[in-house]
Amino acid sequence: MPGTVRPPPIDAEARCAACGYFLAGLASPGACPECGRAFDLSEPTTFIRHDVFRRGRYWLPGLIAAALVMAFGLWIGVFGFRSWGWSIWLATPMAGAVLAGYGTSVRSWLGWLLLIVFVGVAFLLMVISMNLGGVFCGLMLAGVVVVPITGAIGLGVALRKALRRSSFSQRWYLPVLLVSAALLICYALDGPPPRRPVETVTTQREVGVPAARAFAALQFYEEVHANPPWILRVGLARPLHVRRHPPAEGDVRTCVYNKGHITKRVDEVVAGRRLAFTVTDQQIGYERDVRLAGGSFEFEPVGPERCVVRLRTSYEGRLGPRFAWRWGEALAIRTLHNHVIDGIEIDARRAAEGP
Amino acid sequence: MTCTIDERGVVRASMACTLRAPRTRVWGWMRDWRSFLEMDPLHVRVEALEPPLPHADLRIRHRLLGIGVDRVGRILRWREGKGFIVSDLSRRSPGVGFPHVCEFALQDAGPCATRVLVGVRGRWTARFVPRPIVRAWITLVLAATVGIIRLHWVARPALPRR
Repeated sequence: MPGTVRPPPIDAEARCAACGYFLAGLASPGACPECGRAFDLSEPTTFIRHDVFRRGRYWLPGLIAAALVMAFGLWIGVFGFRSWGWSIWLATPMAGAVLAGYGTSVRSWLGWLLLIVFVGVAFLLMVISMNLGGVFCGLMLAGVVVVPITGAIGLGVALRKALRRSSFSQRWYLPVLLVSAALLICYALDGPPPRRPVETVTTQREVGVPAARAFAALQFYEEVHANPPWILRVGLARPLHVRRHPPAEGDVRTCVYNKGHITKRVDEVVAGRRLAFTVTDQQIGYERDVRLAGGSFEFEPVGPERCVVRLRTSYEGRLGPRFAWRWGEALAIRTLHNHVIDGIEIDARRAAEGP
Repeated sequence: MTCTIDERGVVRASMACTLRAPRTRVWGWMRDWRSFLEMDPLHVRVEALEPPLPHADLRIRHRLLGIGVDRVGRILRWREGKGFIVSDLSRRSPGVGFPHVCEFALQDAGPCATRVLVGVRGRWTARFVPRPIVRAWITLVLAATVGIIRLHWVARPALPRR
């Protein structure tokens, strides 16, 4: 170890060009004590002035800050403010993305991509691990948040670049506090979910069986024998059994799922043409997301051997903002409708062919 | 981790972390004492005090949430390869406003490991503040400093091959 007994001058900046060892104050010319590279403090080309590490390249605190703000934000937002809308699904990942963009150095498209993936995956894992949503919700969320996350990362990067040129001494942590405070304000503004109007999704398809036969083969989703499409297997609870009764007015049936049950009451039956039902009880684990109201089956003859099957499902979508979630809910319901119509058509054809 | 405060307000606190590198390499980083002092989350900037005081030649800007005071100090002890001690005093007088010293020391912790010790010794002068709160505050600041040291070390590039 060189025998200096005095500390380097406060304004000294000389560092080893190879390993970054702080050379100021050492006997010059000399060799770096760490890597042996020769230096001469009177010759600027033999050393560097900046540290080998710059705060701008310092990615870990940014990612940790992003993850912590998202995790605590979700917890406080959902369980503290009982929010279940835009503040949870948009503001929270955006806050994380702002901090990730602010706290890390993004210089290439790969860096952007990695940041988007990090924030998106971290948010989805938090949502799923906190039991706030399932896999289907997570997949929908991935589609919902990718654009806001990208924009928010850009905002964070712009903020970092602006503050980097300033001499503002609190810039390393004050944005974290400001973003956290803004997130709390978002939760307070959003608040508990309001009662939303009932929405209806309708699917109609022409099938190659007479209306009366199709009506006789009428079945609810829980009664369809064929394997459901993957989107339903991933997104919905698995039906176990149902108490089947002749479809008569006032008929009540309980469909039992692996996560609970749904009770439906048949309100209207027009033989061969229409069946309408109301969902009287839903305990299936999705009550915070969607509350089913009812639905109907309609069979309209379009020829002697053909008819149009029209399925309607009415529900109260509780996830906000509605524009972000409506498309995914409609996609799932239409897939379910088509699966049920397939089941009706298959059973009607089988009935026509005989045992 | 230790943090004791006796009945006269004398504070002795320290916290350590182990870095996976030989002491010479860690010291090469720690020799930049100004940057190292600024790893304390309260020390936003360390600069030369103009004009110097009899007992201090450094200005240490302390800030929390944008609010704070400028304190003064000087390097009291410099042990090449082993560490240094810096005083951190009030501008009003060396005897008021939690006069203390910050110690940064290195110890070998194995063939390729170094223990970095961050310590604080001084006298807590605001006697009206309950001791548990003082202890919690000092522990928090020390833990944050050690955490920042760890994170900065992780972010440093590996030593290039000779």
